[in-house]
Amino acid sequence: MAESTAEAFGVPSWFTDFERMLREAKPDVVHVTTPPASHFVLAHAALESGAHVFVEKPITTRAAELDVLGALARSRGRMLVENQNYLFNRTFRELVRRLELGELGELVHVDVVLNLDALGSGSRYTEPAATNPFAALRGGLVADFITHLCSLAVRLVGPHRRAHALWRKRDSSTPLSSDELHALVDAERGTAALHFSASAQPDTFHVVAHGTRMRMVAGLFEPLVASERLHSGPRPLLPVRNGMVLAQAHARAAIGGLWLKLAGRPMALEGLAELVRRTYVAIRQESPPPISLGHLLAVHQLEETLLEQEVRS
Amino acid sequence: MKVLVTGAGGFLGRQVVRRLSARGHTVRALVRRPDPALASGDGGVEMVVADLRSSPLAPSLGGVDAVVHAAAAMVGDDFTIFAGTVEGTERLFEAIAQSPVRHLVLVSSFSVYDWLRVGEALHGGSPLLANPWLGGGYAAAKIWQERQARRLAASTGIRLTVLRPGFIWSSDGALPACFGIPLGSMFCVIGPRRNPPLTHVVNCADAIAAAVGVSGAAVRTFDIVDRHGISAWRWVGARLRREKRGSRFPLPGFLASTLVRAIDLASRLVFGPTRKLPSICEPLRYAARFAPIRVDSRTLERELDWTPPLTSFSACLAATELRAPPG
Repeated sequence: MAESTAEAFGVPSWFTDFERMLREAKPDVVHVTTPPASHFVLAHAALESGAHVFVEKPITTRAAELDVLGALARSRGRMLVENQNYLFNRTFRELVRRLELGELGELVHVDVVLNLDALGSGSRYTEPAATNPFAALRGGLVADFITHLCSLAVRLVGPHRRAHALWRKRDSSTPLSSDELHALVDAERGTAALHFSASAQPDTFHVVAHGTRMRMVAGLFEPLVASERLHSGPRPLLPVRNGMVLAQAHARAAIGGLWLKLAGRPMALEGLAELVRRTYVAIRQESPPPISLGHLLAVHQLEETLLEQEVRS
Repeated sequence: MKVLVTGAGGFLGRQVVRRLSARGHTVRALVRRPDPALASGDGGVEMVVADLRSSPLAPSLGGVDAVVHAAAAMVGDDFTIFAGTVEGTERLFEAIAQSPVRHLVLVSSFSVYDWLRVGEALHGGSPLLANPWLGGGYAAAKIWQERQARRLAASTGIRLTVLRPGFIWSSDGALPACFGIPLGSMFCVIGPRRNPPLTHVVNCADAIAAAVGVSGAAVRTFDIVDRHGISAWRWVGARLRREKRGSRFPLPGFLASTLVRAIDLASRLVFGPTRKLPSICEPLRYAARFAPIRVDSRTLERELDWTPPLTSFSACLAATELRAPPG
């Protein structure tokens, strides 16, 4: 596998022993893209060797492990970045920009909704327990997506104060403990509702920010940015005016999304490219990382609070 | 001989188990899920439930003379198919190197060929894909398997037979991808006058069984196709009549391939080299399914001293296979 991957991407050397790779290749940056349960050990060894580390989500499977990695990164002066790619999609950045400009008024509440047909025929998540890295994880299937939900919410409403989670397992044929999560979060700058379902269709991933003057939606699978706002004039006409704006925005997003797919630049990868670019710029310029350690810790404390409420059958 | 069959629960693997038993071999069938229909077949098949990617494999190879490696991941995205197939293969080959096995029969595929450079006839020297990933995850996995198998043979001295079947079909199985595309209740037959390189699952499995234990050169490679040529138009007609549904219409091959080339060119001009098309509009993937091609079935028959059990199209249509249990 290592050899074939090296060949496919024109990488000059390959290893199957991680420690040996660190010793011989002496990498400046290590990307950890293995299954979640192995992240902590590999990221720890990479930081110890003096490398900056970019880890797939979830960066660790326990918040306590992230504390250890964070302390190590700080003491070594190295960057520790988790792939929270959707924070860097153009649509979400636009939502944050307009929120920070004050266009939405005061932020009241955020909905983060991810519906994904992840258990269909041939899905790697339906594999038997022996070859399914999510079978032994808290959260089951949701463990692979919870970081996306939490990172988007924390970016908008800040660290959580309390959170209530409702976990469900709708598909009994898989070895996964859960495949659905609905959570309510009370946080420093507002409230958030997080929804993940592997059953609800069609697929969607979007964030809705509810402000005192404007409601704004950012699509993460389609290039959708749309808003409904208070206008001067008769109130009964407000839905008509906003509805026409929404319809136009949805049509543009649908066509734009198809265009991006045909161009081989799917929205799901847009934020990853931007995050990787910013990480390398930050490393070269010795500037702060694109995702702060404080944000990472807040995201995983929220994850831990939600995961602790999963009652495994 | 004692023969281990991997992927024995699959469409082809089930038939291979049956044909090996019929030829007097002792069969150990490796399956991921228990399958009572297999164990109750002829000749007392020994069933082992194991996953090539995670189970210890040395016990399964104890006392085995030959291995038929037919296991492959068939569903999921390109990387899932590639990783699922290659991980299991690497572990199996490592175990074989430490075992008494003397002969490996690898079930490969036509997808390893570079169909844009093959020309009119397929033969021993036909070019393989230089960039395996252009053919998709399955093609990449098969090319990688072949390479690993040749290395295993070179380093251990075990005999290797690589068999590349054409499109495998059965009378009641899924329609092979080489005929065309369904459009609602209609079926568009692409290149209706072509004889697609087909092999009935019973013939294919028997060729694989016949290759086990045959002496000859240390490393040999054969294509498997049925000797009776039948046009795509006639095949689809027979199938639709049998199922009493829908109707067919022809799309001449030169028209379809011109259309595909035009779409490919237009998308390159508009979107640049990263463009992504539905697989049927990728020229290589289109050619792999629909290129008119001649394949000589006689080399395999002569070299293995083998006669296919089903020698006519009507015999193939009438054949019943060992079917998977429902669900």
